[in-house]
Amino acid sequence: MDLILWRNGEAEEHEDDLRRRLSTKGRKQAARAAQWLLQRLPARFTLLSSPALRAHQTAQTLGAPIKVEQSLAPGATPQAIIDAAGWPDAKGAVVVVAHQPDLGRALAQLVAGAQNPWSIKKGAFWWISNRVRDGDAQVVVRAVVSPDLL
Amino acid sequence: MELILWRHADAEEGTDDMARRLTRKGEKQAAAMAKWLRAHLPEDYTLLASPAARAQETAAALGTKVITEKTLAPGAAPAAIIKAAQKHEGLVIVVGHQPDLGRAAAQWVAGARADWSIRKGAIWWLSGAPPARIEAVVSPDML
Repeated sequence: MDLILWRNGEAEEHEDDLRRRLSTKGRKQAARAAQWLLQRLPARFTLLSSPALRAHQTAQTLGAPIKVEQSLAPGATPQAIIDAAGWPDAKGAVVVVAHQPDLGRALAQLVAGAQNPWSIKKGAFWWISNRVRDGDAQVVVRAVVSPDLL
Repeated sequence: MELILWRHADAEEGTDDMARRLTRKGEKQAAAMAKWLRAHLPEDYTLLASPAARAQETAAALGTKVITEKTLAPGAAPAAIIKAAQKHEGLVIVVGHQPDLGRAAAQWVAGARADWSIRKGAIWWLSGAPPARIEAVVSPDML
């Protein structure tokens, strides 16, 4: 399967963390990443979002139906992210929009079996896939792109 | 330190491994990646390449001076790759081979002895001292 882990774009401050909106810059970051993704994703893909507004607004830029997963809210564990995405057995491509350091922790675990969270810039995404080679399950990092590189 | 690991593009088969040249597809992959790199690289950087023809041809796509490092030839140890890069200041691009580059990335990013997959013609852009951050991963089929 293909799994895209996407961090929300830059957000404004708000007393309620779940209601923070994307800033103008954050909306641009999300739109640029979405344009890049839409050119490369298969026609059908699954789009999951954290319930936080900034994640939902980021996901909306893909223009596809969004399934909100409460388990992806800020503070999500690597296992919660992996379970929500259906890794490694889901079919096709799954896009997960969520937060740091949660996504970076899931990536460190999936790619390196490591504990410390990896850095992911605002609005950036990681595209990974799995395969079996010589009887070993492997994780392949297909792309890591941040909005400043688009 | 900033380090870009760049795996050579698709190459022809051949009995002399060091003499294998890029295929037409490989030339296109190298050109596409070079174009992307030129759009994002700082003005000053150092370009190192393995002496193998397929690495030299990949590096040449950037159109700048290539420093050939014999220690980057196929079979290079992670420590040899990192040592070659550390001889230079600023951003260093290393054009080399698999599984060597993937092992260097695992070492530099995760302090791990592991084989990380790097696709033909792809770059991994790492920054900072170990544990380094992965700033970007781009393969030609994603351009």
